Amino acid sequence: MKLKLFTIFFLITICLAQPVAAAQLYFKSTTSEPAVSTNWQVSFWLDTAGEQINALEGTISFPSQLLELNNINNGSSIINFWLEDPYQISPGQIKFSGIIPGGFNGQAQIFTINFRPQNEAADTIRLSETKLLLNDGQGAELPTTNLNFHFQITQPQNPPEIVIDVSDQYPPENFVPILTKVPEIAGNKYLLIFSTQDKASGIDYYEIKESFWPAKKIQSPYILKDQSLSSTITIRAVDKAGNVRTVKIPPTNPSNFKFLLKFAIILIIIILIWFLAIKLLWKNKKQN
Amino acid sequence: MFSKTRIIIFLFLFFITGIFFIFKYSRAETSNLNADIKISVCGNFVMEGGEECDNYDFGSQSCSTYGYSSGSLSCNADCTIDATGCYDETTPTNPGGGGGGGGSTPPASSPTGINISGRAFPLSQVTILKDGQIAASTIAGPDSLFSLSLTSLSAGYYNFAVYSEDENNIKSAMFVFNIYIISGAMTSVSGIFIAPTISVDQSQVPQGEIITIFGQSTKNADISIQINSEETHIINANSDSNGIYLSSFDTTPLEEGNHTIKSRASLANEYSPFSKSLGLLVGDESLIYLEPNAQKSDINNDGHINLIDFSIVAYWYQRPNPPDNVDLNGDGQVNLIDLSIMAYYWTG
Repeated sequence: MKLKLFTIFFLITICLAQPVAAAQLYFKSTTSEPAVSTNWQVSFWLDTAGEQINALEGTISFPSQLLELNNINNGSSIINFWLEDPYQISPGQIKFSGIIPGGFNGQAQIFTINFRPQNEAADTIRLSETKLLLNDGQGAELPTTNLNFHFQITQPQNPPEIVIDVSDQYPPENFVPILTKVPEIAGNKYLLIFSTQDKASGIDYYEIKESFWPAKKIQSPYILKDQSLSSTITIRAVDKAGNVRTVKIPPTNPSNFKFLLKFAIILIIIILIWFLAIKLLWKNKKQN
Repeated sequence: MFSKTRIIIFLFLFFITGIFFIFKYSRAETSNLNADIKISVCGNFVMEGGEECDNYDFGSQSCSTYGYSSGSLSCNADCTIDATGCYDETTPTNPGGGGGGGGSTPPASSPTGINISGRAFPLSQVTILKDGQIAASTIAGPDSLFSLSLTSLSAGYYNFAVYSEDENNIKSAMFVFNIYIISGAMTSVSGIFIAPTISVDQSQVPQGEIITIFGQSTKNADISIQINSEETHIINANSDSNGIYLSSFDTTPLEEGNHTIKSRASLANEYSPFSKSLGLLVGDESLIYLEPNAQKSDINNDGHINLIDFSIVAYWYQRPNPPDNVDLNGDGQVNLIDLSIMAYYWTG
């Protein structure tokens, strides 16, 4: 009797329950049954359910013994500024966080992940530690549902495909690096702040060449080595397809550089003359 | 003989020191001279002496200056002109080719970009952000209408945000949209209706006091002011030819506690989104309303909340002992909440 009553109450509750709209983070793919050794693309999406959000973060976990991570493409992301560009912090763990200035309301892609399935098996791509913050000036958290993605890796019907990605032939967008001093970061030192986007494949890395120092990979903000600003600074933004956008900042104090160059040349000449003179003196001394 | 070597070394050092000071002196003169004539600032959106362009300011130059009939110029980071976006509509893209008979001329490719138009406030500045950074700004006409174009974009998804500023330099809520820009075409987005600005004379009043609500919107629009409490109260007003609206509200029907006020405009069956929401406390005493302190998000105090401020806060993200001015909500740590607050007040 008790069981019957409980069942009736349960059914009535279910029937009367109103669907509650909640923001969702979820995955999309053309298939949930990828074949071994193929390129399998899974895109990661956001649905704000009518609310306006401006910041999000989270972690994606996947079985690294079943799925080899080829690359992550954030080229067409709704996120404008990444705090943590989606990256693999450890095998099978992708962390991400970023903001959308002005906020966003709707459904949009956050990034895509390209996997290479390894073995026949079934498992799940999971979301954890996710946060969506409202665009309310206080950073209030929006309740969010994480929808995990179940997949079944199958044997390929045909020989493994060879995928040649020719989709991105364009360099990252032009950008204007900001040369400034920020006491909160580097005291009285000059630093560079920069950001650009690549709509097709996403930015892979930035590289700087300063004066006579070798080129090296950097992140914004970057404290300049040449604090005299006497040489041209070259920054290269490289996308994940290898296309390059180069911007140059001319020297702010070229006279410094010219002065040092002239001085160095004259110094070298004088040192040479001095060595010759010493050599002659020693020669004379030996002869005497 | 050894003493001769000593003399040579002494003379050498003396000579080097002399050369150094001569160069230093001549450099100091040059520096002074440079300081006097260095008046251009590359990157301030204004083309000045010594610059070929500055962001979107090309002076009177266009593609025709460089001998092309169409296209658009772009400005390099060092304020030199990049004319690669220019093209000649009559020039075949694949000229020559030995001996072929009379091939047809392929159509000239169109620039990839977007046209944006809509309503703001009469003669107000309208700013457009592309992926969070200022891409262009313009002044709306006396009829509140504005339009502008962005070219030299690449194909892909973009986040655009449009906002305006009223007579008191209060910024409107952003009108945000996400759109896919098609390669080789100008995408047009029209009908943007910027939300009104809103302000009140008091942020706290005793029950029964009258508050004044005012702001700026498009010219001659119907303004609907919504006061949200347990029951929603709606007041109707009209904006004048300058877009200014003003209305008063008797707080007698409001219960003690917190309430919010927002407004929206409508004109010719078009509706703006709601304005920013203001808080109103019905309590024991009156307090004058002060604009929210967006300035705290302007870490470097340059009047803008943009990539520089983001970089400063992002630098301290999850680091111990952040400076007080970087911890926007004052909870002793810099985390996603601080960046969400900054994103809310963002100006580009």
